Amino acid sequence: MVMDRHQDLVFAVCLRLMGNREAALDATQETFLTVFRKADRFRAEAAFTTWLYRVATNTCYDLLRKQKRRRTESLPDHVDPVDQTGEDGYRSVELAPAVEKALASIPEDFRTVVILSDVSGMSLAEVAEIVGVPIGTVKSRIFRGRKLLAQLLGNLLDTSEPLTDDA
Amino acid sequence: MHDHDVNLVTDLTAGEDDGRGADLVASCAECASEYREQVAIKTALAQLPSITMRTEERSALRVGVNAELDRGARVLAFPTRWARLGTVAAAMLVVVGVGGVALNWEGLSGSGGDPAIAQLDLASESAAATTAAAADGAYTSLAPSAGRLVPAPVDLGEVTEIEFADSLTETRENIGAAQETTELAEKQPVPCAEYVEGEPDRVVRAVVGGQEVIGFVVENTPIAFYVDTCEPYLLD
Repeated sequence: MVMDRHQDLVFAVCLRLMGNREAALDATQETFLTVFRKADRFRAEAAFTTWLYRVATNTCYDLLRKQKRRRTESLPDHVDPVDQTGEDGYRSVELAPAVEKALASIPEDFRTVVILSDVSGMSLAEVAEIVGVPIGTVKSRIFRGRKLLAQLLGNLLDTSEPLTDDA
Repeated sequence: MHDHDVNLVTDLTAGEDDGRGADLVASCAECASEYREQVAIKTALAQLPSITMRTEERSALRVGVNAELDRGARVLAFPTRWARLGTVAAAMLVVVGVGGVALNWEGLSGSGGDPAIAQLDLASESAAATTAAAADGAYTSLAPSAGRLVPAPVDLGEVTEIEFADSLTETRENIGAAQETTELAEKQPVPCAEYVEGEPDRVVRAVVGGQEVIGFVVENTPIAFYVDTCEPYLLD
């Protein structure tokens, strides 16, 4: 079944975009409902997973906008904390919490493309199709997103490795 | 200062370089530094542990999706005679596509909305919904008791499948053309349409708190009524 096959991937993207599991679960549910309801509009020229990710990211954007609106109306100073419950293997990589936290703090446009490209392993063309912007914009956003992450992570990262294997 | 092209650096980092990125990095110390930084971040991100759903989250997702889909099926259930019309009837449903208004019921309700109506996909379901509406039989239309709606009858009485084209006239023509081959003699007026001012772009039915509601989008402005009384269902 489609949902069984893709739910973890969709949930992972949603969690990293939304910042907490409850919101990610809501977004995942809305994503699959949209997919099931609009299945007749899926066109085969795009890969199903690309379309699925596009629905997921759009759903997350919508929900994030609603969250912001509610926060503006009621809790102007509140920002949802990044999910760092220590579950799902977060403890297995020492750097992971810092990276996750930094990732959650960069602007949505940058975060989305960085997640799709560097965490989910999609090609630049796929990312461009998912977010619906030109590939040059994707490249620029990825570069700038990583740049922001580098600034946030500071010297936690080792950037001294050689450029190539034979260097 | 060297004018380095970040897109080439990104190409190289992504393994999609045509050679120009490598040349750039080899000839520009600043580019090389940025490339190392980009690779370091990319590597750190790639090493993030994979996220999986918890058992209870999987269950919640399955229950939630099934509940919403079941609700939709209940609202949109086709009577048997419609099912018999099969593909010919389906061909009549000229579904609004690009450029449609994505009506967000929750946002429009202003109070979080009713979960029963949340996130209905108007574009894909309105055709089925109004088909079901037509097949359900006659409706009692009473005047709205309050609200900003002005009774201004529009000639929707002849339209069962609603206006799923860009213009009402065009859709009427579509439906009129299809009528001869699909025996749509049982067409019924759209409930509460007489209280809609202007030509609706979209029509959808849903259930709110156990009551059927019909919604219209007119010039990007949504309005809705309880089907059984045509009392306005206030969206704001």
